[in-house]
Amino acid sequence: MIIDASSVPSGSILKSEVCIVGAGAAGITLAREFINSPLRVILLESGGMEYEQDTQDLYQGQSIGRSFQDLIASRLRYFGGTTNHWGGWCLPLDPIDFESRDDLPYHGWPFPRSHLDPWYKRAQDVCQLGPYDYRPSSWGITPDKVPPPFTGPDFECKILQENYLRFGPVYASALRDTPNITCYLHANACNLVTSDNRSEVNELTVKTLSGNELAVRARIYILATGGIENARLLLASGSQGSAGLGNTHDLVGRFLMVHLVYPGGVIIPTHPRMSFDFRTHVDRSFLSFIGLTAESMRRRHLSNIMIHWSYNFSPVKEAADAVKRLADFERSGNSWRSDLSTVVHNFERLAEFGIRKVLFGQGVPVESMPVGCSSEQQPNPQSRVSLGHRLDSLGMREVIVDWQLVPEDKRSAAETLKLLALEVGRTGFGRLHPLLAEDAPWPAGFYGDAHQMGTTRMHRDPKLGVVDEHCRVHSVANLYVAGSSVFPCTGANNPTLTIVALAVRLADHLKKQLA
Amino acid sequence: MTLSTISRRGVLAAASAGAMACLSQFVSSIRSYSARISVGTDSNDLVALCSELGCPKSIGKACLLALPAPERALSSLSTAVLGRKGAPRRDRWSPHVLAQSIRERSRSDFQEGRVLSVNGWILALTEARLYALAALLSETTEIRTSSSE
Repeated sequence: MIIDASSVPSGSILKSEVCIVGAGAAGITLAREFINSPLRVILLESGGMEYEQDTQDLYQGQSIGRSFQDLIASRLRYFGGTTNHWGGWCLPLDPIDFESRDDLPYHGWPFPRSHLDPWYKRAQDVCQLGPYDYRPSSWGITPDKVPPPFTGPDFECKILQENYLRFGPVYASALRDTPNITCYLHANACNLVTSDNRSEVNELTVKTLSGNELAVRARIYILATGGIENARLLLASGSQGSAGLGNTHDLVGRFLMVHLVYPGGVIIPTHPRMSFDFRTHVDRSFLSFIGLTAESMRRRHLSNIMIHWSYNFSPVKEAADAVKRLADFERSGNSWRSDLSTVVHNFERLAEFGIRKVLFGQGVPVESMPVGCSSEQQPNPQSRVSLGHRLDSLGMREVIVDWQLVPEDKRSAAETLKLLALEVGRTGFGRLHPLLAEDAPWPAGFYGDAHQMGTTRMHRDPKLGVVDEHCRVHSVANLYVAGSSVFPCTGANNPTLTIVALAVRLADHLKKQLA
Repeated sequence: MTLSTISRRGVLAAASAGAMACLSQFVSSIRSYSARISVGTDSNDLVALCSELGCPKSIGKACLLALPAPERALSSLSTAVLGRKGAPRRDRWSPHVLAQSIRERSRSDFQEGRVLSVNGWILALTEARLYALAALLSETTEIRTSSSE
């Protein structure tokens, strides 16, 4: 069932076996895994079923480092969380992303990709995607369709699947109709109250903006509030004056990472009629992109990267569109004069295009290919989330985000683009004008995206991680963390499928623990 | 080898007809790209660059400036572009052979990292020399033509 916490009498104590904080991709996935189990589950959501500005404002914070994504606009604080506005790009992290690498500090997960594969497979269903198969050839991109240099040895064609599933609207009814799961809306987790030795959470303090204060008592608590808020809640919990909960080694909030997005340059293709664009296959949507091969990353000490491209077509495209509009007089409307002018000025190109189209079935020539990049950020303890002194409407301290990069981030990106320029030239694909050099500033248009990760990183060693390989906070027996904040390093791939896979895996683990 | 032993117009013609042909697609794409690119704050420098690279001669001039000073001389460039001394003259100057040689050497340049950044574009050293040579020859030919008039 779904209940508004504002309607629950203040001072109430809610009891369950499992308490999940946050109803986004991770929280909803976790709750779904407990549908019809004998365990009672409380799912707490700060917002309602729709966007509400006063709740959204609880995300208010301050950025003191590099320019960071707007803390309010980049996340959504209502049922379904940030899946209410995400782009739906899904793919697993690459096997190399899980590897410990001598050349990249703090790199690696406590387990290999193969360990996570069974849960990735189940995450595909949760995200309502196609089969768990990310081989381009399985999506119709056979090797003969991929031009060099994107066939190796340094670059390869990869694919991602696309489905911007809104977890809230899609899964609300299933959770509403399940007797063992109760979702409380407008219920803000404010403090994890622990035992004297802080080895166990005894109670979670919950407040509503309407002034109610409740308590949740559960056997297990799971934080699933996102890459920044998970750290915020841990830092805000524990006894007054302490450094927060699970923060014995001053790691909570550190290692804040996002993906680095920037224009990589422009390729002028040698063959303007090349066609290298694949989007759909049967009834599923997918997108191809270019990545470094694992071998190249290892050999050249490079971080992972996603490279996308778009096309600038010859003016003949505009002219051909103008012809179509002129042929359909109603569509052309008042623009017929400019359409006619476009046709006249491009008559020679149009004639050639027409002949090629009719005789050889050739499409519109490509003039240039702007290249966009999204790179892995190196784990950096100086990049962090901490608590400021300003309080939000619930009396919780707002976050201070100090997002920082290391020189290695730019070196790797610049080296990769240089390598792309060499490979594009060597194979005769074209010529590249890279927009990034190691000794120059990041190009205009550079930003860190909204994939906030790493602030409660996973590591077997409590001195290097906030949570262990089961996502349990090292020093607290009954406290777990779900979501991208546990990523010890990020790869370049979009994080949601991994968030969902880890949530399903955590649910399996907890079911065993609580059985 | 010095250019006094050969016709400058001949080399230019060979370069234009042969080796330049293999890159002409690239050049014409740049030209048309420069006319099409939208002007935004992020791409102002690119617009300027592409306008500058709007014709082979401009590319050649940019390449010439990007090359180390000792390599800018006509004699060094022609040796570098046309190949080893002593090879049969007709083979060296055949547009077909020259074009193939330029292609192969450019590929090898990219493989070995022998590249030149010309206003941001990453070009093989061999092709950059070719463009530079073409520009230089074109310039000297123009001077001769105007002075004879």
